[in-house]
Amino acid sequence: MKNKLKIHKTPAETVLYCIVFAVFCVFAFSYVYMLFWCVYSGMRSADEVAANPFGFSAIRLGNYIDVFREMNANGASFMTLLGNSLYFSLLGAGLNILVTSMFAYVVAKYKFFGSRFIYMLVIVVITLPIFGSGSAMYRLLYKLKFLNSRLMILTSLGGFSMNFLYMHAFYSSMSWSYAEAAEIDGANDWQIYFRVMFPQSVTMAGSLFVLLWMTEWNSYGSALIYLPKMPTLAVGIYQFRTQMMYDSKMNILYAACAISLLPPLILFVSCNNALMSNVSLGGIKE
Amino acid sequence: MNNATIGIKRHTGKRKAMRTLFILSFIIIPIVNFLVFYVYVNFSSFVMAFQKPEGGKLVFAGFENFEWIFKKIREGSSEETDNLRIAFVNTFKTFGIQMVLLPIGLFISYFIYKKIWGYKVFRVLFYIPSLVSSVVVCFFYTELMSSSGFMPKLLQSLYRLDYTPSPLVDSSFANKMVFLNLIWLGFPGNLIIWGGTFSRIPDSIIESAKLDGVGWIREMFQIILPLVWPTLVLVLTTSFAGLFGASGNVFLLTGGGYHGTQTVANWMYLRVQQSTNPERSPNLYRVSAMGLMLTAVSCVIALFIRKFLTSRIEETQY
Repeated sequence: MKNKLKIHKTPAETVLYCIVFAVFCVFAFSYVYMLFWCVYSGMRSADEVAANPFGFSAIRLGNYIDVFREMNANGASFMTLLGNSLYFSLLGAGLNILVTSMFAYVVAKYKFFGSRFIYMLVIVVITLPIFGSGSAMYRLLYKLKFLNSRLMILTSLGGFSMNFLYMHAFYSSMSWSYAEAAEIDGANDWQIYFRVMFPQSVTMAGSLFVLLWMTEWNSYGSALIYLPKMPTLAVGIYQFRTQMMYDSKMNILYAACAISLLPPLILFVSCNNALMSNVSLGGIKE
Repeated sequence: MNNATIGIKRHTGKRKAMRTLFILSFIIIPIVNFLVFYVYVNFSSFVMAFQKPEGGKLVFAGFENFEWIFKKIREGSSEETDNLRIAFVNTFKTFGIQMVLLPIGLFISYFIYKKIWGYKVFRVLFYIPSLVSSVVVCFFYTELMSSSGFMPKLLQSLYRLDYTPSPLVDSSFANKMVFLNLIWLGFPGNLIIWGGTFSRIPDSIIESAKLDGVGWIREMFQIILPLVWPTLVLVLTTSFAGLFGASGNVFLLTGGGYHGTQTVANWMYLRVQQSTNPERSPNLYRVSAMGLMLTAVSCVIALFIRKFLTSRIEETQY
C-alpha cells in the first residue's frame, strides 16, 4: 500500500484555501442553478414561465412528453432532431476516433516513406491558425451537394487533429512485443491491430470519443451553416426559439433544453475520473 | 523491440506487398479527407480572396476585397454588423479577457489537484459550461438580462440610472454583458488539459518539496509551473494563434453583433451563414480576404510567441 505523506497547511494557506473555496462555491452554485432552472422551467406552464421566468409554481411533468409532440424546428420534429443529433454526434465521433486511431497507429509503429512528414504535418496543421476558410468550405459543400445532407458525415473522417497526437503518443509508448507474439501465431497486420493493439487503446480512444461526442452533441455553429434544413438538437432548439416570437412555448423550449443536456451530463458524471486521467497534453515526461 | 521495421528484410515479396496494402488502408481515408477538406479548401479560400461574383460568374477582383475590408476598418460602417473597426477593438478586448482567464483556469486546476475541500464535486460542476450547449446557456443568461432577471435592476442601482436598462440591447451595457458571460463561462478554464497534466506530476516531487518547507507559492511557481511549462507553451501558442477567433457568445447573445458587440470571428461567421448561393454572395469572398490577412498576421504572432516562451524556461525532464 502506498503511504501518503500528510503535511498540515500553514494558517496562511488555510485562509487562502477558504477564500478559494468560497469563490469556487459561488461559481459552482451559478452553474448548478442554471441546470436546475432549465429543468424546473421545463416543468412549469407556459403562462407562468412568461410571467415570471425565475418564479416558482406548480410543476407538470407532462411538458417533457409534450416536447415530442409540440416541438418543431424548420419542419423537423423533436424525434427527427434527436435522430440527427445522434447520427452526426455518435457516428461522426465514432468514425473520427476510429480513423484517427488507425492513422496514428500506422504512423507511430510503422516506418514508411513520409511517416515522419505526416507527423510533422499534423503538428503544423494543429498550430497553424487559418481563418476565413468557412466560405471556401461552404462553397465546396454547396458544389458537392453536401449541404443539408447526411453525407456531411464524411467531413468527420479526418485524422489531422489533436486526437492524433494523443493516440500517437499512446501507441508510441506501447510495447511491440504483443504484436510480435501475435505475428508468430500467424496473425496478419490487420488482425494484430484490431485484435491485439486496438483493444489495449480502448480506454484512451473511449475517453477521446466521449469528449468529441459531447462537443458534437452540443455544437451548433457549423451545423447552423451547413445543416439548417437538417437541424440537430442544438440547432433545432435555437431555431425553435427564434421562430417562437408570437407563439410562446417557453416551457416546451426549456424541457427540450433539459433533455438535450442530460446525456452529456450523465456520461461525464459517470466517467469524469477516466476522462481527466486519460487525456493530457504533451509536455510532462513520465 | 518496438518497431515493425525490424525484420522487414526477412519478409517475402508477398508479405511486403501485404504490409504496404495494410499501411495504405490505414492512411488513405485521413489523407484524402485532408487533401479535400483542408488543402483544397484553404487553397480555394486563397483564390476566393481575389475573386468576386459578377452576373452569376466569378471574375478576378484584384485587391478589391481587401480594399473593402480596409475601408470598413478605417471608416467604420453605418451598418452596425459591418463595422469592422468596432469588430477589431472587441476582438482584442475579448482576447485580453481570455488571456486573463488562462492563468485563473490554471490556478483552479491547481487547487483541484491539491484536493481543496469538495474537489471531486467542483471537478464535475466546473465542467458544466462545457457539457451544456452554448445555445442553452445563452437562453438562461438572456433571461437573467431580461426585465424579469436581476441584472437590469442591479445595473440600475450600480450606475444610479433613472430607468431600468435592457443590458443586451443597450449599447452602453451590451458589450460588458457579453464579456461578463465570457468570464462566467470561462472561469474554470480547461480542466481536462490541466487536470490530466497535473495528475502526471509524480507525488514524490511535491512531497519532498513539502518536507523542505516549500510554501504553496513557491510550489506553484518554482516547481509545478516549470514542470507543466511545455503544456503552457502549447496552450499559449495556440491561444495567440487563435487571437482573431476570440469572440465569446456574441452570435447568441446579441443576435450577431448588434449594439456595438461585433467581433471579427462573428462577422466572418455571419457573412457565411447569411450566404445562400456562392456565385452571388460577395461577402463570402470578403471573408476569404479577411481570413487570408488574419492568417498571415496570426502565423507571425504564433511563431514569435513560441520562440519567446521556449527561450524563457528550459524544458524539465523527469
